[in-house]
Amino acid sequence: MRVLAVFRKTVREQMRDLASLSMVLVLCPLFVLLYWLIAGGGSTSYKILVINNDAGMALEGQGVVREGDRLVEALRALKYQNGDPMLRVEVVKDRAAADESLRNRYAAALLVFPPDLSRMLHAPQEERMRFDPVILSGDANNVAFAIASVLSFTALEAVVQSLGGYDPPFHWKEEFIGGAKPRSEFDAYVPGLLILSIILLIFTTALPLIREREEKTLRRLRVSRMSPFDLLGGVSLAQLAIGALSVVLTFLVAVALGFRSEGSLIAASVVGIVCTASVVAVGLVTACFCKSATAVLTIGTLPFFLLMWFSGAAMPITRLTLFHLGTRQFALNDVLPPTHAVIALNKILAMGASLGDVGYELAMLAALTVVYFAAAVWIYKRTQLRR
Amino acid sequence: MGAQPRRTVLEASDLRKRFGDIMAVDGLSVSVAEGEVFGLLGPNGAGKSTTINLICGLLAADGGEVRLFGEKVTPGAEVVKRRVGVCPQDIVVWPKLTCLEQLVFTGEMYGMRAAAARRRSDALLAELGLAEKRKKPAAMLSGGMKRRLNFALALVHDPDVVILDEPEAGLDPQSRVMVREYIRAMAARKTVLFTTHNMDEAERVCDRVAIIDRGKLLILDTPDNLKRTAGRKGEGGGTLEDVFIALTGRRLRE
Repeated sequence: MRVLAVFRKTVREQMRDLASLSMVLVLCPLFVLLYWLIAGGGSTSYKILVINNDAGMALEGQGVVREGDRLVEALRALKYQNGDPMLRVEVVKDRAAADESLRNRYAAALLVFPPDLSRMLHAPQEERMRFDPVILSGDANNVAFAIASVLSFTALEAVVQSLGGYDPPFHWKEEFIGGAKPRSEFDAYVPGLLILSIILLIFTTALPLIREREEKTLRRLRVSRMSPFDLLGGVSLAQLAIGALSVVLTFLVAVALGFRSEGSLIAASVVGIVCTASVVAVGLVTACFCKSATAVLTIGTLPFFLLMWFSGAAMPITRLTLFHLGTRQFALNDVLPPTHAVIALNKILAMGASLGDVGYELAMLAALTVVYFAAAVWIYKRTQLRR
Repeated sequence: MGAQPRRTVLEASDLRKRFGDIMAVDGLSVSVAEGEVFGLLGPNGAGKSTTINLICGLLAADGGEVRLFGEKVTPGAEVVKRRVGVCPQDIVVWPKLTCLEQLVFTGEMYGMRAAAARRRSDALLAELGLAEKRKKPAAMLSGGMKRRLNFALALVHDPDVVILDEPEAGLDPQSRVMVREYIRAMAARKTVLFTTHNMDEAERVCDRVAIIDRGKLLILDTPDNLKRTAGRKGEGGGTLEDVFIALTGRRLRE
């Protein structure tokens, strides 16, 4: 079968191009390792600075109490599920130096406790607004500030409520859909890193096809009985095999570094592999419009950025719904395969869903793979095999 | 010289191809018989490679037609894929594949089974003096060896018609003699069409030669007749090169 012959040839060529092969195989596991190192072994600890001006107050039978110190301890006690601290708290004295740290993003937030913090916390609730406020300072453009603010507020609120002996303004309870529990940042970022690495296959899929053109071997193949389906199918199978290996390696590295999944990693790997097939098909379409390796690197950035930014792989994206299919919404970004992979991986890894639960997403990925592959065969025949 | 021409295998009639303002092939008509070694001679830019591309169906003609074994050749024609082997002018090999791997791969692309392609590849490598290099990647071969491999790739599927675009270019004298003898030996079983501007090569190998320039056929005959006719007309007459220069002029080409 000619498809298999092209597959074997492409694999051989790829195996003999170790630099490019290792880029594809190792890139994602390496990203995961790097992120783990940057995230301090699994979770980001946000550095916050505290200027504790609290003078304390004497309480009958307790001597002098300093609630500022207690709040600092509460901030330090905030932990991820794996026991890692959420906040790295540094008590400082110099406000100017602290502001400079915020500007340089050496720290995410600054808390300034007023001198009569203890008196404020022990005052009746209706009198507290008369005291100087606790100041929370930071760079509003820094995402870390937003996260550190929420975390700090959560820690402080609990202490303040226990001191004042009052309940929250209303009764509320957090519920997590699908049984999802709070996960470390590392757990949350691994799927996104995986999808981004899969998207890079656009380039590695297009390049072998362009090499056939640049080395003029395509001319030799054009007078043979090889069809566009044979060539594109064989190259796709080779890239799929390499991509699948990369997906499995990525999960193995992630697990070795402490990655936790609510669902089956085999199911997640299946989603990753089907997503790989769809991205490979997009890579084939890209190759149809390129005449050189340089063109792949320039023209290829268009699908790369489309898949990265508008699929929700890099960050959550608003869905522009076009129509409804039963209970399903079909949005414009649903034509981008990673959109479905992002949703499916989240369901499996964070909510413990099974493969059956992500059947719709898998079906959409498979359908998009077929559509893009068929389009690539049709366009390739017209743009690369005709003169 | 060689086998007597039999039935017509290849027939080009009033073939035309234009690229912008340039008429690359202009009303060319030739026919090649079975078992014949047919040379297409012309200076650079004469239209030799375009003619070959039209014959192989790599280009669509603007006018006229090509028939192979009686079947009209169109881009992607099945008759070409089934019965023709093409050796391009450039060295067109897969640098990372070994000699054997690329021959087997090419055979498979022509529909051969892997085992048959391997047997045929081994035989070709031995015949063309590449047996010792069968497991070497093409990138590691010398220029002459790559040329021979380029030649072998056109033959791996055992085609009935072999089209060679300047097969001796870049070969050392030993390799040139080897390829020349190989072409002559092939003529017993195959029809060979090849382009060259090496007159010595054409004279030694071809049963008939056509000299073309600016896409037009200037003359077509056996090398001996060409030399005789040209000699009588006072257009040189010593060698085929004299005939060629007399017909195409001394002006340098691109």
